Amino acid sequence: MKANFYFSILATLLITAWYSQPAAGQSIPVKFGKVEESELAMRTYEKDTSAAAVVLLDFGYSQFIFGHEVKLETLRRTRIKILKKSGYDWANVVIPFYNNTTEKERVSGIKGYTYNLVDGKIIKDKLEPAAVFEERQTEQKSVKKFTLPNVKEGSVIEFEYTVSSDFIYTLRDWEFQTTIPTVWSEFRAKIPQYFDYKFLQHGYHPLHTPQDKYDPTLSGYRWIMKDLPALREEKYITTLTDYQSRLEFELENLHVPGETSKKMTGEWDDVIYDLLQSERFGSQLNRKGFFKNEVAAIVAQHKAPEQQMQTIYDLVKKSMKWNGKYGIYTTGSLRKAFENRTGNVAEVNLLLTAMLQEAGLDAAPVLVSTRDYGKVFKGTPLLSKFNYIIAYLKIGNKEYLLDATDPLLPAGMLPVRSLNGEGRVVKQKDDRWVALKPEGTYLKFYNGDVTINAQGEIKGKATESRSGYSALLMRKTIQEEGEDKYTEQMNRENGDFKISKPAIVNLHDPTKKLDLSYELTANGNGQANSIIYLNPMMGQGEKENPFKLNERAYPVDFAVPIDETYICRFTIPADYELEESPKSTRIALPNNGGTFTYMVEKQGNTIQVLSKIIIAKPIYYAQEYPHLKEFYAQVVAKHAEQLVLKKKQAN
Amino acid sequence: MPSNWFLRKSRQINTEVVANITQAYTLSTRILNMKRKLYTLLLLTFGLLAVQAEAQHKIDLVKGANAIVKLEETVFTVNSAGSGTTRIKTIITILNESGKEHARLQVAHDRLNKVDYIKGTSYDLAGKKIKSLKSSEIKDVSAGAGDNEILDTRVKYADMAHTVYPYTVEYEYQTTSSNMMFYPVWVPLASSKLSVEKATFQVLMPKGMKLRYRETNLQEKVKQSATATHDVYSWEVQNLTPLDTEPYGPFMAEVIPMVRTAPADFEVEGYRGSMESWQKYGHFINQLNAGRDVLPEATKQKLQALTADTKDPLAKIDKVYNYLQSNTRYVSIQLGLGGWQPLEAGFVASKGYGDCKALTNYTQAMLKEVGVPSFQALIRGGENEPAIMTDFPSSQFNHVVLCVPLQQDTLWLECTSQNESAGFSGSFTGSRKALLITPEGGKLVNTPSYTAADNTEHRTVKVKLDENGNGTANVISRYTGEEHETYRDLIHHYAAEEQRKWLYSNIKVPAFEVKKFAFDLKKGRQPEVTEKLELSLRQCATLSGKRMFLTPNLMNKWTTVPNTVEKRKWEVVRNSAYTNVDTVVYEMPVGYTLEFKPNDTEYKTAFGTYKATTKVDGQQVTYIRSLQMNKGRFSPDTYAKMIEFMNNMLKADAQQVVFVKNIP
Repeated sequence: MKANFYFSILATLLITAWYSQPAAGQSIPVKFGKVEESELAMRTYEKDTSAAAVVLLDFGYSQFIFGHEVKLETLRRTRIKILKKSGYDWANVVIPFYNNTTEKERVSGIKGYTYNLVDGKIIKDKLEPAAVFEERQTEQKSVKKFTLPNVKEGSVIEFEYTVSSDFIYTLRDWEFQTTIPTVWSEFRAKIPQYFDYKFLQHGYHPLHTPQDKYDPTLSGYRWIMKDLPALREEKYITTLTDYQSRLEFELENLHVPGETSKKMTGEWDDVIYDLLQSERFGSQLNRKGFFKNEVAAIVAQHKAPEQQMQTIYDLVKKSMKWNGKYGIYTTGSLRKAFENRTGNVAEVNLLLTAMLQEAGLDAAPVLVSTRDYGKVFKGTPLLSKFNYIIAYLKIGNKEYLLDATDPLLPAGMLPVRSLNGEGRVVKQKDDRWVALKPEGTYLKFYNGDVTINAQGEIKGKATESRSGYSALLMRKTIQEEGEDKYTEQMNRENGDFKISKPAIVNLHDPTKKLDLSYELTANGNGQANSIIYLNPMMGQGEKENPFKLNERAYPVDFAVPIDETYICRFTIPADYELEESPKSTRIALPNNGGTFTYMVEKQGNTIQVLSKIIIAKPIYYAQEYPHLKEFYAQVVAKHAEQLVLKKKQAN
Repeated sequence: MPSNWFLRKSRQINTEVVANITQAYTLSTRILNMKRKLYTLLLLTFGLLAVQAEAQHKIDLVKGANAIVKLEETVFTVNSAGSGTTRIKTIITILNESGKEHARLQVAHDRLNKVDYIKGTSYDLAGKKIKSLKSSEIKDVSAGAGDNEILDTRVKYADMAHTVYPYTVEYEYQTTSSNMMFYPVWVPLASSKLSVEKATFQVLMPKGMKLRYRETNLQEKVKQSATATHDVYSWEVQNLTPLDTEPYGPFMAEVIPMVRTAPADFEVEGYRGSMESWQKYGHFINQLNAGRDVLPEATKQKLQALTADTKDPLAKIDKVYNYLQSNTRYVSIQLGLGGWQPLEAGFVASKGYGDCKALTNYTQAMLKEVGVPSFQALIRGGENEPAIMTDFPSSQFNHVVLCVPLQQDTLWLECTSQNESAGFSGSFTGSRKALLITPEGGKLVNTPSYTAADNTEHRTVKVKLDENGNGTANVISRYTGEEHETYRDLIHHYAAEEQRKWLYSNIKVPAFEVKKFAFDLKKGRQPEVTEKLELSLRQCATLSGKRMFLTPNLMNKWTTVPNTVEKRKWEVVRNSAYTNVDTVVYEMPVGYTLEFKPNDTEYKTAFGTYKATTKVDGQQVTYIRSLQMNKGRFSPDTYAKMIEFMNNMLKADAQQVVFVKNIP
């Protein structure tokens, strides 16, 4: 919708009021085109001596310009110190700008300088306008690209530009933190009374409030952070932006003089009501004619609601192919999607919801934000925070969460992408949060049975059973490789062990556990040994601690709990005895976080070794990290221990 | 991220062997910086693949395929020396989900290559039309250039994927090029899990113009005919079954049917040239470069002052190269002919940046100014790239370096790097042919080659263990040649904290902490990195009751073996050669007696030589392992021998020494 619909009349009234204000109010914290000698003399950044470059200042100022049309204008000014050659990339600047069919953004006033200290003198090189290139990357996105001249180790670069935007309801996020350290980051926004914005602050760093005479009524709101460390990627996280210090804006209310205020976010109740009225969401749920017969047949055939759920779920999985696209709205009608047998996630799972409802079941869609899309903040009902739809179903007291986008998923299990906090059930008068918990775990069960002879040769069989997310992953892998190729790949010798005759059971039935069984052999050294050393984990143990770093800034997010059991029976030669074996042990993580059990039992000439690792929670807070690290250190150490078999002394 | 976690949990089925932990990581962010519009090259550098033998009687095109090319017709019409039109019609049946990429069409274009039209239609199993491609469904996007690249290359793409398999997609499109440095390379079987029922290729040359071509792995040779105006060259293939991969196989380009074509005389943007010989190709490049080496007066003076105190060419080169490295950086601006013609030396002097051509040209101009002659050399840069076809002069390059002939030998300079040692080519440009651009034209020469004796890792470790098997390790490793590259990049591109993280994820010791670490790079023609580590080790030796187990190979174990292939079809190709020597000396806790010690092991094969010895002298265990791996091509039947060799190493590296506690 074009903005001047609201403001074309208003504009004339307002011009005087707004134009009399100074552009950016009080002192912008740096003067463009003038660099401090101390900034040029700086050789390393004290707070992070390894930094390749440092953002000395990042300043943004947004204001609304009321002319013939209303524009949102944002001035951006950035100054960066280049410390090392590996920081040169910061001198290549890319400014994205967007458009749709009626609205667009324009980038203007690009200026830039490189400053170098040469023989004690400041040399200033200007960015030539001819060196600014424009590239249309897609239909909606273009970029301005430029590179600053004569950048060397020690240079200070500086650039500014203005983005003038028709998207006046969207104040873009302000990112205080980036992948190099930032000394000072400041954003100001002068927001007219017609807009009620809500500010959401993310990340792990506090705002800075200088003791000065800054007057927000004159110069707009102001947010500052200083001395921010570089943002760094770690293992086991959702998405890095969940951990970045940034500010997000939500337009809550729009007050247009002479009209009643328009609520842009409102209460959940209203949001859900609107969503259920909307053409590309709620209305689609009400048009059930095109699948009436199919559902009627299912209901006639299956009486139990669980069976009805299962059959409808299988039907949608079979007849709808997810096209890989996200979004909470359909792109067209469900009927069309059903005819084309494909659709985005909203089309697939709204169809599932509609069919379940048609069968008389208590079903509703659920709004979800995927792990890559970021955490859901429960404070404000804001639809733009969601990018995914699943279905909710209640049978008696039991609740199910269903997702028909993946044919390998059994009913009730969610794909890893949607295991992200909570989702909102879209149900009139009964909308609420529902936990997007993993149903089931990453479950693996290894069962081996082998015989050892006096030459140290091993022969036997093993079965790896998988269910939950472990099975899901394995099925995906096998599907991608092809079953033949997969088993062919398995057929190999790896160190001591040689695997042969691999067989896969229940590959195509996601409701059953997936079994992979094979024969295995290991060569001895060909001689009769008086002592045989044997690692009883048969190559299945944890060999390295996945947690190596000493500290951890973010929570460890495994997404799903883990349950790995290993049992192997060893039949040893009759004239040998167990001289030594690892001690049985059990260790636990605090707060029922998990356990590791290891047991060796001997009965006659059979030795049974059991190892069981349970990681009970999907998420561990940063404070729990040392425990997790120690837990795995002990597992690795235990799994490295050996059995010692010794030939009995002849009588 | 969950994906990391899943990766760790999934069974390792990757078949590429990583002999040395450091080779697993390529930190280099350097990008091939000649224009990325060598569409044909893309096809040539797919990777290591091999062709599946055809069934003897009835040819089954469905088995192992995700899609079948029913018919593909490519007609390349040369309009003149400076213009050509390519029309392609392709009918492809997509058999399953995994084949849906073939329902997509991508056509690259830029200022010199225009797309005339694109048409598309899809059909269901019964041959009933599903839909026609609307022009609004053809997207036009930039060709995914990076932040430091400014290119005019764009891609038009369309996707006619359907959801009920099988279905058939038909595309027809035409492009017109005014960049006749490039003639098509015809690759009918351009990807794996694809079969081809029939594909044809025709080149129409105006009478009097010569076509140069090179056929490989074809069922039938060219057929020639003529029209009133054109000579017509036709090729056809039928019933090609899917490619299959074999570990350590040859490059796909070596084994699939292919026709490379190239002009004799050609023209681009007003420049005329000939490709009939490498010499003539070189003359053409000379034309593009002519007059672009003029330096500003100020730069000249600076260079004169810089080299005033020396007459030695080597010292001058050092100073000029150092000046280049501290005053310029790599930024790629390639618009139109800028893909092949360098920006002028004066531009680089004033802006301090340029692409490979601009920076090489600039360096050449600077060396000339101080009286050192040099030549630009076109090259196909990149690790593990197929060699250029030396007997078919044509546009096969993606990079340019500078070659400085000296009295004793020749020095090669990589001008896009701010850090590289003068004279080191390494895995990016070493061990291959380059086209030297001399005033007498082009000449193929060899770049420095790096052998197992050049690419080395020598490591000495001193370990002291206490009675719990915990301890400390002092590690000194020296890396040279291609083995030093990872560490070179680590030093130049990673901050200290990232280096520490890298060490944590690349040191293969079960449980350890990095107490201290330091890297030292010694530049030179044979640069080397010395790495010093202090590690604290946890349960380096494992206790079980009264026994203590020690795996003396602390941090350089062979870990993977490729899968068995029943009937090997293709030669075994090994592309890397290196030498590793590890010496680890342990001081064991007192109170233990040796119970078992592995025998000394030695394996000598054509692929490499492995030797490991373990000596125990009281509390001291000395382990020495040396491994030399060779590169080369080996007959298919030796594959099993290579697996055996690798598996033997894997076993030998896992051997343990066993001690028993003394009973007091």
